[in-house]
Amino acid sequence: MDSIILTLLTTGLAPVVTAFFDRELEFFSNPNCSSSPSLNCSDYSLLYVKALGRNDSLHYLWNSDHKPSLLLLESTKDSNLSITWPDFVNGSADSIRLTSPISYAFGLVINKIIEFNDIGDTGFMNETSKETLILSADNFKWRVKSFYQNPDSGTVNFEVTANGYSSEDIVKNGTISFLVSVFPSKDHGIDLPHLLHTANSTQIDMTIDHFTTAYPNSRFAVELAFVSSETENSDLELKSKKSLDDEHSPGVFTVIELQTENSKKGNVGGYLQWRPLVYTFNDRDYANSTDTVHYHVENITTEQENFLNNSLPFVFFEKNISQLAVRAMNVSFGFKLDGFYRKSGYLSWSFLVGIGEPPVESFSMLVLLIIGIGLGLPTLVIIGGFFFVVFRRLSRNKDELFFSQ
Amino acid sequence: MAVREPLLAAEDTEGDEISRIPSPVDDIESNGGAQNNGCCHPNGGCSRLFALVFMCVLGFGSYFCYDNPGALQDDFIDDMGLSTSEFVQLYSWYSWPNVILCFVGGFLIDRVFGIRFGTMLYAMLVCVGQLIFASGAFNNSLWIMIAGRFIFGIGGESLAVAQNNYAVLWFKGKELNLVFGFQMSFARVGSFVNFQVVEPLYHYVNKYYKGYECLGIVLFIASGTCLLSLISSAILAWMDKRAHHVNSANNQQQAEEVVRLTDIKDFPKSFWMVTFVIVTYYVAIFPFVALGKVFFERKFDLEPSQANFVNSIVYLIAGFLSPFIGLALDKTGCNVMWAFFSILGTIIGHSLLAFTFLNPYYGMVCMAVGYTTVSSTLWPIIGLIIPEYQLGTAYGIAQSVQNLGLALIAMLAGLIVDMGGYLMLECFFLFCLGLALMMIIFIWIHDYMTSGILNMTVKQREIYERNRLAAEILEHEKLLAAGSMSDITPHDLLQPHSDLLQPHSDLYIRNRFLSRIGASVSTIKYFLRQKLFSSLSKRAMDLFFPCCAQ
Repeated sequence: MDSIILTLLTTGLAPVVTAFFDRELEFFSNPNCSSSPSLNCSDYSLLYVKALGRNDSLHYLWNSDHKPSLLLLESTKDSNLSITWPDFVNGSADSIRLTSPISYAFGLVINKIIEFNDIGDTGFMNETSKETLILSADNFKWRVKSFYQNPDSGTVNFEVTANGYSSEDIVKNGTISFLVSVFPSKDHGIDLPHLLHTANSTQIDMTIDHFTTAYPNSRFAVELAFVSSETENSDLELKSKKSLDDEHSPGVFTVIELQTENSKKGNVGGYLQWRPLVYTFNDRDYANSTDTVHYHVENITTEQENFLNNSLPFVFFEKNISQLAVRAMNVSFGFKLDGFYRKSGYLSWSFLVGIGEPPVESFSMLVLLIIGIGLGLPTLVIIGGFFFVVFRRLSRNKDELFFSQ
Repeated sequence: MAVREPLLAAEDTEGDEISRIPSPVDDIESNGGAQNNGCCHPNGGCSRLFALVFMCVLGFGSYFCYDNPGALQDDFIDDMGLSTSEFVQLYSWYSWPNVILCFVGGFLIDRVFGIRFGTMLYAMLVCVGQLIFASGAFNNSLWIMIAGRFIFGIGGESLAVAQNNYAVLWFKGKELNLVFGFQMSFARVGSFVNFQVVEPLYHYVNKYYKGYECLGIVLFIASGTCLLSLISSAILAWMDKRAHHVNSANNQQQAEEVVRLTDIKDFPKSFWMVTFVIVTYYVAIFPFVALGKVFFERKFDLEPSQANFVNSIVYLIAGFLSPFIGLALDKTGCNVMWAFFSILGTIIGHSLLAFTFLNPYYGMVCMAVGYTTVSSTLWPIIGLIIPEYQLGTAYGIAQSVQNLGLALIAMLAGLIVDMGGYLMLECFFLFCLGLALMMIIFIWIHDYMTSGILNMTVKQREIYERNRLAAEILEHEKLLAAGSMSDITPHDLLQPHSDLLQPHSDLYIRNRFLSRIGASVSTIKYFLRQKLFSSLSKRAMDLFFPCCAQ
């Protein structure tokens, strides 16, 4: 298995071409790195998925050499990625380019993992509390565990994990991993909560497994930072929506969406979408889940932007980052009375990152069919019965007339 | 609430059980004037009032004790160290056997025990079951408790059948719907009082006894309600016997027909249709309530206590409303129409819950009113369809089938939620209700084409009764007057009656026979009516063929 993965990592694979897919996916690990003989390519983990659609192309770039980050670029159909590797390694701007102009860019950085002591068992994190540990995401030793395309679904998956954490004053055991899936077409995810994705979105499953905890009532949270090519004033709106339809995520009627201003206006813009629940066992099930809590979107000032150092969006946007909208948001995992992280020592959260408008669930064929038959049939019988009775009454009247003669 | 699922089977009981039909009401009335001994003549209204009271008390014990574990769930789990699944067994050992035993219980009432002894026996079983249950708790022995619940269940569900039976016997043609309403209301009261009383009682006893011994004592005290029920069953038996005695004195020729298992296949189509409606309707209520709390919390963001309250609205409203709705039904008749509109109301209620974010109170109130009306209207219909001597069996079958439906759907409902969410569950319930609605229309049409008795107003029903009796006599004369049907040989006439113990089949053959020989429509119609309303035709049979009356 390892050898296969290794092969996949170092070479680009031929795309799976299927007429049914909205986008045709190609994936590469450290594309074109080997053209720079001075570099040892296996030291780097730049994963690249190109999604070629009918009218445009999407480029997904993932890098976890520093803080794990995802960059989505939209461009014309014929655009190709070009990386100047020595520059990229040095973190210089302009080292990542597309051969055609970029119409939209959206970047996501996993900035920190936060552990906090939920003394009152409220589920809410208070970052100013003393009993809070900040684990900077670049102190993990990230490793690409797998990178492959599922031959049936056409989905390209890669998994990045880190064992343990160590900084100057904090050492921890346990595993944190990100499983990223890039989809060729619109569908529901295979696992709960079966998020609806499109060919313009990617799903990230974040798992914190058997992590050492520092407090009796430890809970975890993650800080996500966003950059987009929209102007600095562009708002990032976070809203919680209710839907009638919990068919694909049983018992969960809420969907949370974070949209850039462009996305909100229905233009090409970035968004995040998730169901506010996190699973507490490997075997995902509603019974084994607890809630997520999300917090305000915060502006990131120029000084704070240093956190983006060397991360993919930084490298990509560097020269004009001050003119871009940079924001951050926390999501914490767990809610009151769920027994805290220590109860299962596991949590797994799924969310979508995409470009365009967040997908909207609709009633499935099966639901419509059941309602249609269940209520349509009696309606037909009522109508039929009505005419039957009227007909009988009429014909009987005739009989009686006849009889009376 | 955790126990909700197993509750199902029992809840239904309450909805449905309700009838014991003492037959001779009509006759009683007509002859009532003859003997008048004291203020409470067995046939008088006063006597019926007492009967109603005892009929209600009859079910009180079993309803009160049924939910003892639910009310003391935490104490059961802590004191006896039960796991949740072990705790749930206390309910499942009650419900599952009753998928069959209701039917057996009902049949035995008809065939072996008779209503009076049968009722007392079942009340006794309830009592004994509860005592065993309590002693199991007292000795901290789960298996003794389970055995107790099992016996309690055998008694409880069959007692519900007996209760229905009694109601029909005593109140048919009178305040039957009201009585069903009262019984249902009282069932709710029993359950409600249990939830209010048992917990404080436990805390009180806990001052003197600790742990499972305390639990045992509380359950022993609770079994007092079963004793109360047992006593009322005895009083009812005495009252029934007294009424029967007076009436049989006036009506010497009453035939004692005996129910047979094979009669079931001759039950009229309308009975099976009503049973179908009962099953498809109740599966959309009880399993929903079992899962409702979480649904309200999740979809409507209610606090657990609010969700609990909204969820209990169905039973709360049923408790208050059912006597009134019963009364309204008694005044208006038209049972099928009422059933139709209440199923429609329930569909609206479920739809509001499924497809809107409107405050769930609205949907639940719709559902509750629908449920109350359906319960008060459907169960008495069986009393109109089935002759008295088969009533126990009929109610037993209906209840058993319902228990089966509920047990299966309760399991399925959990699965549906896991697979397709609450939306799918609601769609499934709407589908079931759609089937119920469709079937009620078929019943309506079927009834319209036959006697129409099921959907008559009270007045029409009275006129119908009068005409029917007149017609019977007329028919009798016609049949006996050789001139009118000279081509029928005595042999032909006798042939179908050779097996007089099976009146259904006889009537059927007669009808077919008459239609073959081209008897007038009206004649056939009368026979068809007889067939449908065979409880009454029984008396006609006795008149015509006294030879078969024993």
